[in-house]
Amino acid sequence: MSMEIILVQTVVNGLMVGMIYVLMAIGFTMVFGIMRIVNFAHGEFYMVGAFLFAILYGSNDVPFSISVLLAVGATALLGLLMERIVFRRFRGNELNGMIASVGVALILQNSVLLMWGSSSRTVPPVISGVLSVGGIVFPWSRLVVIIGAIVAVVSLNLLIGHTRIGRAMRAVAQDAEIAQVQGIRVDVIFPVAFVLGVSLAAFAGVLMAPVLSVSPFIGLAPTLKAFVIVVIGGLGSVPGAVAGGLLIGLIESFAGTFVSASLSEILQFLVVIAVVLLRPQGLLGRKEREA
Amino acid sequence: MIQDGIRFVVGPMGSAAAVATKDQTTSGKVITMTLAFTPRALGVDAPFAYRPVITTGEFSDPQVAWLMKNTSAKQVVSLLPNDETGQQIGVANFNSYAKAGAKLQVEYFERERVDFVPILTRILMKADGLELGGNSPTTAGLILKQARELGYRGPVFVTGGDVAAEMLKVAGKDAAEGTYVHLPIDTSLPDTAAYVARFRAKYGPNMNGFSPFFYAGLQMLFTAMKKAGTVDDTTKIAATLDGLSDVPTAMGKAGWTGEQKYGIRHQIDLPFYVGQIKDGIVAKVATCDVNACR
Repeated sequence: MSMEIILVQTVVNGLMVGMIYVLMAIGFTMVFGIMRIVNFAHGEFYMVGAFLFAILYGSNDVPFSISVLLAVGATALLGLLMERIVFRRFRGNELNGMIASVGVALILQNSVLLMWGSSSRTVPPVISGVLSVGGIVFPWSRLVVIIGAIVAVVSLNLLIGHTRIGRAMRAVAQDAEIAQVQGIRVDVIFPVAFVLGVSLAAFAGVLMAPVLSVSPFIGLAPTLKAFVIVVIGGLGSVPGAVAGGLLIGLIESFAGTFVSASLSEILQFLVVIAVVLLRPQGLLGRKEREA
Repeated sequence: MIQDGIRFVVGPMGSAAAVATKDQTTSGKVITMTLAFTPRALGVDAPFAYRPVITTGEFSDPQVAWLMKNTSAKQVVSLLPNDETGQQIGVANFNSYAKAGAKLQVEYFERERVDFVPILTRILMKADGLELGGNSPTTAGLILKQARELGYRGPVFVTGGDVAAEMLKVAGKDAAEGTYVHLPIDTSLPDTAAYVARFRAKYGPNMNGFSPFFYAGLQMLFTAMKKAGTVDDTTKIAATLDGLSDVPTAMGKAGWTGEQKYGIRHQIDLPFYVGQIKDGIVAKVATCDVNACR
């Protein structure tokens, strides 16, 4: 295998992982930006989405598109329920909200464990086989993840940038009180943002289910990655989440391919430390206004 | 545990927990039968620690020697979690491959990792064999699936654990085809078959391969209690347990071994097997003891 082929392969690997991190981090950062809640249960919604998809598509042969809609829809409903019961009470209360989110994470993980057991489930690939171009091998299952994630990010960008609700969300993220004075119903925007964030996590879970395996314990790692990414990109910044996600994905891929897996973890956290020291607001985040 | 008057600990306690509690269980004269694969779990400094399962230290040399003799692999790569268990297995497997005339390159990863493609892209370039022993069944299945997706078609070995069923579920039948696995039990033995049938009737179809080992260990422990005439005096029970041999168990006749390797005969002595996955089913291809596979 020539160096050029390995380089291209490494970039594609990094993009796939990076796009999943982007999906996770966008939802995470949106919830923080709008509700000021660091949601450590975010990864568990990823897990629930993946689990529901595995049950529908993997175990019950429900058609792919219907499985995706049902898995993401049901997870979104669960997110709405959690927002109503738990998170609504902690808006703007970052510390208590974070602790509550850890509790929700444990409840979701253990509920799935009780309902469906601890053993791993596999999901058949949506498309099997590999795309071979000039000696470079691209598993179709991974290309589907990249394409699906790009479609989700572009759709979200259109929603936030070009719709009424998107503009309202941006206004609430900038200043909830001023937005309310301007007639924006923040009590509607909060659950919408939360459900949107949860849906992105569930969609990431659905995309990754056929590539990896599904178990009640898969939520923690993406949550930690999402947290790292939003620190790099800037808490509350959607473009920052995209940049941070792709950066971490590529670091993971290049360090894993050319150096060692352990070094890739070290490098990621060195980047986090460097960003926190040199640009505390993150690569694309805004500085907090001082009172 | 000591304050509660616990005398016996039997169960799938791993290396880290067993090593961490060794001083307390030794001073408290608590008889332990654990799943700790580390050589540090047994020794003259732990006279109450027993191991009812067969570990890498026992099966690695004969199994690897058989695999290297029966396949063309000479440059094998291994992926292992970067913790106590992974590093111990890495060292044991490295030495076993060297003894068998092959080279093993071990790559460690953080335990929560699920995407192995970057590492596999690098390490499979020069490899003609992939060793997955020492990983959880899920992780072994994920690595196998991702290696096959990258186009790897060489032999795959899983020297350790009882991973076949779960690995097959994760990797799929096609990816797992031809994989050589460590087979801890032989269900064609009447006693083992009877145990498996009883287990499945009571608990369902998914039986972990270590289950009959712990059952056999308990059968030895109960035999020692009967012979010693006590269920409380662990010093007397341990002394009786040490002297047992050819005890009829669910796994056949069991005794203790390990004096040469650990300085104490507290390692269960039972046969083990090499299996190969063929069309989604594991077929026994060799029967082994600590000296050789045939």
